[in-house]
Amino acid sequence: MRRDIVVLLCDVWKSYRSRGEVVTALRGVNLRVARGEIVGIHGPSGAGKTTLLKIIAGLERPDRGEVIVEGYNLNQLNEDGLAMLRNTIVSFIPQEYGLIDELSVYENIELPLLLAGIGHEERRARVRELIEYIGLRGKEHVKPKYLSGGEKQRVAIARALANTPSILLADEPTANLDWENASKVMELFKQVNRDFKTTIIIVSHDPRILRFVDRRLILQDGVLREVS
Amino acid sequence: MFRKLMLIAIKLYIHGCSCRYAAIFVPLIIVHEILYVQGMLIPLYALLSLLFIVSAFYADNSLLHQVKEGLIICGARRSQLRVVMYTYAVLLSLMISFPQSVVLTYYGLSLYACILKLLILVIAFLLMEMYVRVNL
Repeated sequence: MRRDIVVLLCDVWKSYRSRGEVVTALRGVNLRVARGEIVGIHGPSGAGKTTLLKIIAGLERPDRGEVIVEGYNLNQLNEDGLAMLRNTIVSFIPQEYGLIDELSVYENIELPLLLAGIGHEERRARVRELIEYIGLRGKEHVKPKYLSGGEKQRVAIARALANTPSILLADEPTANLDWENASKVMELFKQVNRDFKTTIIIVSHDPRILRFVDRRLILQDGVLREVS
Repeated sequence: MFRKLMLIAIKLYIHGCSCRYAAIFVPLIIVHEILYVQGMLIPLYALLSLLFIVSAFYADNSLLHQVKEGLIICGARRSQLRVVMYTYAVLLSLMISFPQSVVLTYYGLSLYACILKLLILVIAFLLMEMYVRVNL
Protein backbone atom coordinates (compact mmCIF):
# COMPACT_ATOMS: atom_id res chain seq x y z
CA MET A 1 0.00 0.00 0.00
CA ARG A 2 1.38 3.44 -0.98
CA ARG A 3 1.57 5.78 2.00
CA ASP A 4 0.79 9.47 1.88
CA ILE A 5 4.00 11.62 1.85
CA VAL A 6 3.73 14.59 4.24
CA VAL A 7 7.31 15.90 4.09
CA LEU A 8 9.28 15.92 0.87
CA LEU A 9 12.73 17.47 0.47
CA CYS A 10 14.42 17.44 -2.95
CA ASP A 11 18.10 18.38 -3.29
CA VAL A 12 18.11 20.86 -0.40
CA TRP A 13 21.26 22.92 0.16
CA LYS A 14 21.91 25.38 2.93
CA SER A 15 25.01 27.39 3.82
CA TYR A 16 25.60 30.11 6.36
CA ARG A 17 28.42 32.33 7.48
CA SER A 18 30.18 31.55 10.73
CA ARG A 19 33.12 33.68 11.87
CA GLY A 20 33.74 34.91 8.37
CA GLU A 21 33.74 31.40 6.85
CA VAL A 22 31.02 29.82 4.72
CA VAL A 23 29.76 26.61 6.34
CA THR A 24 27.62 24.24 4.25
CA ALA A 25 25.12 22.73 6.68
CA LEU A 26 23.11 20.68 4.15
CA ARG A 27 24.45 19.21 0.91
CA GLY A 28 21.72 18.08 -1.46
CA VAL A 29 19.45 16.50 1.16
CA ASN A 30 16.59 14.32 -0.10
CA LEU A 31 13.95 13.12 2.34
CA ARG A 32 10.48 11.55 2.16
CA VAL A 33 8.45 11.10 5.31
CA ALA A 34 5.15 9.21 5.21
CA ARG A 35 2.11 10.14 7.28
CA GLY A 36 2.14 8.64 10.75
CA GLU A 37 5.83 7.71 10.76
CA ILE A 38 8.28 8.40 13.57
CA VAL A 39 11.61 9.24 11.94
CA GLY A 40 14.82 9.54 13.95
CA ILE A 41 17.72 11.51 12.50
CA HIS A 42 20.97 10.88 14.27
CA GLY A 43 24.21 12.74 13.77
CA PRO A 44 27.06 14.47 15.59
CA SER A 45 26.84 18.08 16.78
CA GLY A 46 27.19 20.51 13.90
CA ALA A 47 26.04 17.96 11.31
CA GLY A 48 23.16 20.19 10.20
CA LYS A 49 20.31 18.50 12.13
CA THR A 50 18.80 21.67 13.57
CA THR A 51 19.11 23.46 10.22
CA LEU A 52 17.22 20.59 8.57
CA LEU A 53 14.36 20.80 11.11
CA LYS A 54 14.20 24.60 10.84
CA ILE A 55 13.89 24.34 7.07
CA ILE A 56 11.00 21.86 7.39
CA ALA A 57 9.35 24.17 9.95
CA GLY A 58 9.74 27.17 7.64
CA LEU A 59 11.96 28.95 10.15
CA GLU A 60 14.80 29.07 7.62
CA ARG A 61 14.73 29.02 3.85
CA PRO A 62 17.00 26.73 1.80
CA ASP A 63 19.55 28.21 -0.61
CA ARG A 64 18.47 25.66 -3.20
CA GLY A 65 16.00 22.80 -3.48
CA GLU A 66 12.33 22.12 -2.88
CA VAL A 67 10.62 21.69 0.49
CA ILE A 68 7.04 20.43 0.38
CA VAL A 69 5.12 20.04 3.63
CA GLU A 70 1.54 18.72 3.51
CA GLY A 71 1.36 19.81 -0.12
CA TYR A 72 2.62 23.35 0.54
CA ASN A 73 5.75 24.33 -1.35
CA LEU A 74 7.52 26.40 1.31
CA ASN A 75 9.52 28.36 -1.29
CA GLN A 76 6.24 29.80 -2.54
CA LEU A 77 4.90 30.86 0.86
CA ASN A 78 5.48 34.36 2.24
CA GLU A 79 6.26 35.04 5.93
CA ASP A 80 2.61 35.05 6.98
CA GLY A 81 2.03 31.83 5.07
CA LEU A 82 4.90 30.18 6.91
CA ALA A 83 3.53 31.50 10.22
CA MET A 84 0.16 29.88 9.41
CA LEU A 85 1.97 26.63 8.61
CA ARG A 86 3.79 26.68 11.99
CA ASN A 87 0.60 27.53 13.81
CA THR A 88 -1.58 24.77 12.42
CA ILE A 89 0.33 22.14 10.43
CA VAL A 90 3.90 21.70 11.61
CA SER A 91 5.02 22.25 15.21
CA PHE A 92 8.64 22.70 16.15
CA ILE A 93 10.04 21.96 19.62
CA PRO A 94 13.48 23.57 20.00
CA GLN A 95 16.25 22.05 22.11
CA GLU A 96 15.76 24.61 24.90
CA TYR A 97 11.96 24.04 24.78
CA GLY A 98 11.14 27.57 23.55
CA LEU A 99 8.82 28.29 26.50
CA ILE A 100 8.27 31.85 27.73
CA ASP A 101 9.43 32.12 31.35
CA GLU A 102 7.07 34.95 32.23
CA LEU A 103 3.98 32.96 31.24
CA SER A 104 2.55 30.05 33.24
CA VAL A 105 2.26 26.47 31.95
CA TYR A 106 -1.39 27.18 31.06
CA GLU A 107 -0.56 30.40 29.18
CA ASN A 108 2.33 28.82 27.30
CA ILE A 109 0.09 26.01 26.04
CA GLU A 110 -2.66 28.51 25.25
CA LEU A 111 -0.40 30.66 23.06
CA PRO A 112 -0.78 28.84 19.69
CA LEU A 113 -4.57 28.69 20.21
CA LEU A 114 -4.64 32.40 20.97
CA LEU A 115 -2.62 33.20 17.84
CA ALA A 116 -5.01 31.05 15.80
CA GLY A 117 -7.93 33.16 17.03
CA ILE A 118 -9.69 30.34 18.93
CA GLY A 119 -12.42 31.49 21.32
CA HIS A 120 -11.98 31.62 25.11
CA GLU A 121 -14.12 28.61 26.07
CA GLU A 122 -12.67 26.36 23.40
CA ARG A 123 -9.15 27.44 24.37
CA ARG A 124 -9.73 26.69 28.01
CA ALA A 125 -11.14 23.24 27.30
CA ARG A 126 -8.27 22.36 24.95
CA VAL A 127 -5.55 23.56 27.35
CA ARG A 128 -7.07 21.59 30.25
CA GLU A 129 -7.29 18.50 28.06
CA LEU A 130 -3.62 18.84 27.07
CA ILE A 131 -2.44 19.45 30.64
CA GLU A 132 -4.27 16.29 31.65
CA TYR A 133 -2.72 14.43 28.72
CA ILE A 134 0.87 15.30 29.70
CA GLY A 135 0.17 14.54 33.35
CA LEU A 136 0.81 18.01 34.76
CA ARG A 137 -2.56 18.66 36.41
CA GLY A 138 -2.08 20.96 39.37
CA LYS A 139 0.85 22.75 37.75
CA GLU A 140 -1.20 24.94 35.41
CA HIS A 141 -0.15 28.16 37.10
CA VAL A 142 3.50 27.31 37.66
CA LYS A 143 6.08 29.16 35.59
CA PRO A 144 8.43 27.04 33.46
CA LYS A 145 11.51 28.10 35.42
CA TYR A 146 10.16 26.13 38.43
CA LEU A 147 9.71 22.90 36.44
CA SER A 148 12.19 20.06 35.92
CA GLY A 149 13.70 19.41 32.47
CA GLY A 150 11.30 16.52 31.84
CA GLU A 151 8.29 18.62 32.83
CA LYS A 152 9.41 21.50 30.60
CA GLN A 153 9.70 19.08 27.70
CA ARG A 154 6.16 17.83 28.40
CA VAL A 155 4.84 21.39 28.39
CA ALA A 156 6.67 22.05 25.10
CA ILE A 157 5.04 18.92 23.64
CA ALA A 158 1.59 20.00 24.87
CA ARG A 159 2.06 23.45 23.37
CA ALA A 160 3.18 21.88 20.10
CA LEU A 161 0.00 19.75 20.06
CA ALA A 162 -2.37 22.61 20.83
CA ASN A 163 -3.66 23.09 17.29
CA THR A 164 -3.42 19.33 16.50
CA PRO A 165 -0.69 19.65 13.87
CA SER A 166 -0.08 16.74 11.52
CA ILE A 167 3.72 17.02 11.89
CA LEU A 168 5.82 17.39 15.03
CA LEU A 169 9.52 18.27 14.84
CA ALA A 170 11.66 17.77 17.94
CA ASP A 171 15.22 19.07 18.17
CA GLU A 172 17.33 17.07 20.65
CA PRO A 173 14.35 16.41 22.96
CA THR A 174 16.43 14.35 25.38
CA ALA A 175 19.62 16.44 25.39
CA ASN A 176 19.04 18.01 28.81
CA LEU A 177 17.56 14.90 30.48
CA ASP A 178 18.87 11.85 32.30
CA TRP A 179 18.10 8.51 30.65
CA GLU A 180 15.06 7.74 32.82
CA ASN A 181 13.38 11.03 31.92
CA ALA A 182 14.58 10.78 28.33
CA SER A 183 12.84 7.38 27.99
CA LYS A 184 9.61 8.82 29.43
CA VAL A 185 9.71 11.69 26.93
CA MET A 186 10.32 9.28 24.05
CA GLU A 187 7.40 7.12 25.26
CA LEU A 188 5.26 10.25 25.26
CA PHE A 189 6.20 10.90 21.62
CA LYS A 190 5.15 7.33 20.77
CA GLN A 191 1.87 7.85 22.62
CA VAL A 192 1.25 11.11 20.71
CA ASN A 193 1.94 9.28 17.46
CA ARG A 194 -0.57 6.56 18.38
CA ASP A 195 -3.28 8.85 19.76
CA PHE A 196 -3.20 11.69 17.23
CA LYS A 197 -1.61 9.92 14.22
CA THR A 198 1.00 12.69 14.24
CA THR A 199 4.04 12.31 12.01
CA ILE A 200 7.11 12.89 14.18
CA ILE A 201 10.67 13.77 13.14
CA ILE A 202 13.21 13.68 15.96
CA VAL A 203 16.83 14.72 15.62
CA SER A 204 19.38 13.75 18.23
CA HIS A 205 23.06 13.14 18.72
CA ASP A 206 22.12 10.37 21.18
CA PRO A 207 21.89 7.02 19.31
CA ARG A 208 19.85 5.47 22.16
CA ILE A 209 16.71 7.34 21.11
CA LEU A 210 16.72 5.48 17.78
CA ARG A 211 15.21 2.43 19.47
CA PHE A 212 11.94 4.39 19.84
CA VAL A 213 11.56 5.32 16.14
CA ASP A 214 10.16 3.55 13.05
CA ARG A 215 12.87 4.67 10.62
CA ARG A 216 16.46 5.73 11.24
CA LEU A 217 18.55 8.19 9.25
CA ILE A 218 22.04 9.55 9.73
CA LEU A 219 23.05 13.10 8.94
CA GLN A 220 26.77 13.61 8.69
CA ASP A 221 28.56 16.60 7.19
CA GLY A 222 25.29 17.77 5.67
CA VAL A 223 24.58 14.48 3.89
CA LEU A 224 21.54 12.41 4.87
CA ARG A 225 21.44 8.64 4.45
CA GLU A 226 19.20 5.79 5.52
CA VAL A 227 20.27 3.26 8.17
CA SER A 228 19.25 -0.28 7.37
CA MET B 1 -6.92 38.21 20.81
CA PHE B 2 -5.53 41.77 20.77
CA ARG B 3 -6.25 42.06 24.52
CA LYS B 4 -4.43 38.78 25.23
CA LEU B 5 -1.42 39.82 23.18
CA MET B 6 -1.28 43.05 25.17
CA LEU B 7 -1.44 40.95 28.32
CA ILE B 8 1.68 39.09 27.22
CA ALA B 9 3.42 42.43 26.77
CA ILE B 10 2.28 43.51 30.26
CA LYS B 11 3.73 40.33 31.74
CA LEU B 12 6.95 40.96 29.91
CA TYR B 13 7.04 44.47 31.30
CA ILE B 14 6.29 43.39 34.86
CA HIS B 15 9.41 41.25 34.74
CA GLY B 16 11.97 42.96 36.97
CA CYS B 17 9.69 45.96 37.41
CA SER B 18 10.45 46.49 41.09
CA CYS B 19 14.21 46.28 40.50
CA ARG B 20 13.86 48.76 37.69
CA TYR B 21 11.91 51.18 39.87
CA ALA B 22 14.60 51.01 42.53
CA ALA B 23 17.18 51.60 39.84
CA ILE B 24 15.26 54.66 38.69
CA PHE B 25 14.24 56.20 42.02
CA VAL B 26 17.41 55.84 44.06
CA PRO B 27 19.83 57.64 41.69
CA LEU B 28 17.09 60.14 40.88
CA ILE B 29 16.70 61.15 44.51
CA ILE B 30 20.44 61.27 45.12
CA VAL B 31 21.21 63.31 42.00
CA HIS B 32 18.25 65.55 42.70
CA GLU B 33 19.36 66.31 46.26
CA ILE B 34 22.94 67.03 45.22
CA LEU B 35 22.33 69.00 42.07
CA TYR B 36 19.01 70.66 42.77
CA VAL B 37 19.00 73.85 40.77
CA GLN B 38 15.76 74.70 39.00
CA GLY B 39 17.37 75.28 35.59
CA MET B 40 19.18 71.98 35.68
CA LEU B 41 16.18 69.80 36.41
CA ILE B 42 14.96 69.39 32.84
CA PRO B 43 18.22 68.50 31.06
CA LEU B 44 19.15 66.31 34.00
CA TYR B 45 15.90 64.34 33.90
CA ALA B 46 15.96 64.10 30.13
CA LEU B 47 19.45 62.61 30.29
CA LEU B 48 18.48 60.21 33.07
CA SER B 49 15.41 59.07 31.14
CA LEU B 50 17.48 58.37 28.08
CA LEU B 51 19.94 56.34 30.15
CA PHE B 52 17.12 54.39 31.83
CA ILE B 53 15.35 53.51 28.64
CA VAL B 54 18.49 52.35 26.84
CA SER B 55 19.58 50.29 29.86
CA ALA B 56 16.07 48.79 30.21
CA PHE B 57 16.16 47.65 26.59
CA TYR B 58 19.64 46.24 27.15
CA ALA B 59 18.58 44.44 30.35
CA ASP B 60 15.43 43.02 28.72
CA ASN B 61 17.17 41.92 25.56
CA SER B 62 17.31 38.22 26.44
CA LEU B 63 13.69 38.23 27.59
CA LEU B 64 12.57 40.06 24.45
CA HIS B 65 14.47 37.48 22.44
CA GLN B 66 12.80 34.61 24.34
CA VAL B 67 9.32 36.08 23.82
CA LYS B 68 10.02 36.71 20.14
CA GLU B 69 11.31 33.14 19.63
CA GLY B 70 8.38 31.65 21.56
CA LEU B 71 5.85 33.57 19.50
CA ILE B 72 7.51 32.74 16.17
CA ILE B 73 7.61 29.01 17.00
CA CYS B 74 3.90 29.12 17.85
CA GLY B 75 3.16 30.66 14.46
CA ALA B 76 2.72 34.36 15.28
CA ARG B 77 2.37 36.62 12.28
CA ARG B 78 4.51 39.75 12.02
CA SER B 79 1.56 41.99 12.93
CA GLN B 80 0.93 39.95 16.10
CA LEU B 81 4.61 40.18 17.09
CA ARG B 82 4.47 43.93 16.61
CA VAL B 83 1.46 44.27 18.93
CA VAL B 84 3.42 42.61 21.74
CA MET B 85 6.65 44.50 21.13
CA TYR B 86 5.12 47.98 20.78
CA THR B 87 2.82 47.54 23.78
CA TYR B 88 5.90 46.66 25.77
CA ALA B 89 7.67 49.81 24.48
CA VAL B 90 4.73 52.02 25.50
CA LEU B 91 4.56 50.51 28.98
CA LEU B 92 8.29 50.86 29.43
CA SER B 93 8.23 54.52 28.42
CA LEU B 94 5.31 55.24 30.75
CA MET B 95 7.08 53.60 33.66
CA ILE B 96 10.30 55.48 33.05
CA SER B 97 8.68 58.86 32.56
CA PHE B 98 6.33 58.54 35.53
CA PRO B 99 8.71 59.38 38.44
CA GLN B 100 10.40 62.20 36.57
CA SER B 101 7.11 63.78 35.54
CA VAL B 102 5.79 63.58 39.14
CA VAL B 103 8.85 65.46 40.40
CA LEU B 104 8.69 68.02 37.59
CA THR B 105 4.98 68.59 38.18
CA TYR B 106 5.65 69.05 41.90
CA TYR B 107 8.06 71.86 41.03
CA GLY B 108 5.49 73.49 38.77
CA LEU B 109 7.07 72.31 35.55
CA SER B 110 4.12 70.32 34.28
CA LEU B 111 4.55 71.45 30.65
CA TYR B 112 8.10 70.09 30.65
CA ALA B 113 6.81 66.91 32.30
CA CYS B 114 4.46 66.39 29.34
CA ILE B 115 7.23 67.10 26.84
CA LEU B 116 9.50 64.65 28.65
CA LYS B 117 6.80 61.96 28.57
CA LEU B 118 6.34 62.42 24.84
CA LEU B 119 10.08 62.45 24.26
CA ILE B 120 10.53 59.16 26.13
CA LEU B 121 7.63 57.59 24.25
CA VAL B 122 9.21 58.57 20.92
CA ILE B 123 12.61 57.19 22.00
CA ALA B 124 11.02 53.92 23.18
CA PHE B 125 9.23 53.55 19.85
CA LEU B 126 12.39 54.30 17.89
CA LEU B 127 14.38 51.76 19.92
CA MET B 128 11.66 49.14 19.44
CA GLU B 129 11.49 49.89 15.73
CA MET B 130 15.25 49.31 15.53
CA TYR B 131 14.85 46.04 17.46
CA VAL B 132 12.00 44.87 15.22
CA ARG B 133 13.86 45.76 12.01
CA VAL B 134 17.00 43.93 13.10
CA ASN B 135 15.34 40.88 14.67
CA LEU B 136 12.09 40.16 12.84
